[in-house]
Amino acid sequence: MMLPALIIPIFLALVFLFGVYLTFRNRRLNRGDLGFVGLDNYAKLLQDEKFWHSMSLTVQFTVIDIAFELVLATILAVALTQPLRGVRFYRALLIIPLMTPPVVGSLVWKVLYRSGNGGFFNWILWKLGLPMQGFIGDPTQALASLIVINIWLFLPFVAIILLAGLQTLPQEQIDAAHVDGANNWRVFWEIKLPYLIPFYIVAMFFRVIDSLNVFDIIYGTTKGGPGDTTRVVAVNGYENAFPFFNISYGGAIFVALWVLCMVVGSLMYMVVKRSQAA
Amino acid sequence: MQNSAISPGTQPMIIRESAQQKRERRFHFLLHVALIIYFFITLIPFAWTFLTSLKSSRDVAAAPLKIFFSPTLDNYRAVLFNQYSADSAMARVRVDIPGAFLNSMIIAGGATILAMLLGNLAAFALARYKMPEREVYAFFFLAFRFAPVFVFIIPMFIIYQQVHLYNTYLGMILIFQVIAIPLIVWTMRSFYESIPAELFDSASIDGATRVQQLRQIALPLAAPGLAATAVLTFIACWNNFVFPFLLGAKQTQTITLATITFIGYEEVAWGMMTAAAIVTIVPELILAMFVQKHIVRGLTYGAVKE
Repeated sequence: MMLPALIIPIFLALVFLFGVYLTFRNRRLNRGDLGFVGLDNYAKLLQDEKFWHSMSLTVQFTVIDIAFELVLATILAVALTQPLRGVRFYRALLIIPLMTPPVVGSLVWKVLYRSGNGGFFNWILWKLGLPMQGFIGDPTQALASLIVINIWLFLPFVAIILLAGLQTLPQEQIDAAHVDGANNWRVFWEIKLPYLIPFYIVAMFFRVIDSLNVFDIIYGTTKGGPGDTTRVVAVNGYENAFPFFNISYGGAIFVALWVLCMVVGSLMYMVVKRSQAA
Repeated sequence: MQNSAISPGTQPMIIRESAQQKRERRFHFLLHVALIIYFFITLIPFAWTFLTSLKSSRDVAAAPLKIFFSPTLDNYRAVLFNQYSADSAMARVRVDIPGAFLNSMIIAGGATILAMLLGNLAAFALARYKMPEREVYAFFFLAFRFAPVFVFIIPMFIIYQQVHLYNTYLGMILIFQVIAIPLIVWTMRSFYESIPAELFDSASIDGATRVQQLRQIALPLAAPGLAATAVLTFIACWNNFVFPFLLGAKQTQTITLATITFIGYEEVAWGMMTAAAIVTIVPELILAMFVQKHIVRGLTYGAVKE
């Protein structure tokens, strides 16, 4: 029964191995295969300042993005588990950005970020008499502006996971704590938050992997610019492989990213497994 | 106010309770205000996109921007029916959105059907049969989720050009299995695991084969989960940008990809781009409404059950 389902994944795994093999050669999209070069592409990678710059941007992007998502999603999830009227309607609204294709979501934000007082945000600033901003066009603001887009897209993902978690928390446990004199604040810190830990880990598992691989929203907006300020690893690797024709070197960049994702992902997978077994 | 002082049935409790109710009502009011502000902010991008899609190309380009304008359906005429108005400054940018929509249906639909057929077999096997190497298989499927999609795209780009799968529906459907199969295997496995084991045990005593057990017991019982998983897989494929971007060209251009082509080097066709964005998103929202109940399980590959 496993076998038919394994055929395509095994084929894809072989494709991946062929990709790793390509990184040991010097293959150019415009000049063909220039022969075996061993570990040259990886040696080049280690000394490539652009690569390390992109790696640092990717880590910054991931850490800031996820920190905001976790905090904001916690607040949202707690708010949406209060006995409010219309709470189901709010929960339905929650998932709308999540269903949007990331690249289309980024285009939507590109409309809002337009420069000059024809752009939505800048028009508001202009009306308020405040200086207009460059947003994705300003080297000092571009990365932050992209993080905002990403939070908008994926905050609901984290929120609905925590929401699902809070809904399985037995109400008696909360009631008992209240009877013992605990206020809402202490119930949150001492009951809800510890209970949610496995849910946080699951959410982070997906969010960390996806943020390390962020590509769509950057391609839709800044394409790595202005300058190199948003050229994350995936954009850098894509550019080397396709527009610059160096598919072997681009491949090596993605193999490096794959190693990072595999290490981070496997560690978190083991934590998830253990927390479920307990 | 100390809750610990409450002792049921005494007179002061009634007074205190009403004070507490009052406080609760005020808290709920503030919460409503906060949530409405939050959703207002998160939905502004859609509202603005929709407004922009109703503007003529002259109104779109206006600075300062126009809050009041006479709405036009020109952009929708262009993206839905390929009818370009003569006065449209953007008539130069032509993207076949109806064709791209159809491509998306074929590719995302085809990929979902293929992955549902194959993935469910593996999901059922992983849920029901206690093989020692079960977790190894499970991890193998999940490992695709860890990997940057480019580690498949780069070698596939070379392979597809050799075997003429570049820019074909078949090639697209095949590469989309990278995201479709792991999602289905893991999500459906969790649905199958929640079916009581006794049902299968008695069926196998009666001589039902594994495939019969899957078809006659598991699939009917997991039908809502099956539908939700299929919808979420379809949405994941519909939303994907990089596969059709790098492994396809005009003939396989999907709607997600087509939307971005309104951004030219010299100008952006904002009106048509936003109209195309609306056309891309609306079908997904309609589909997503039907699967709300199982959405968490699908999005977390079965790790979180609702």
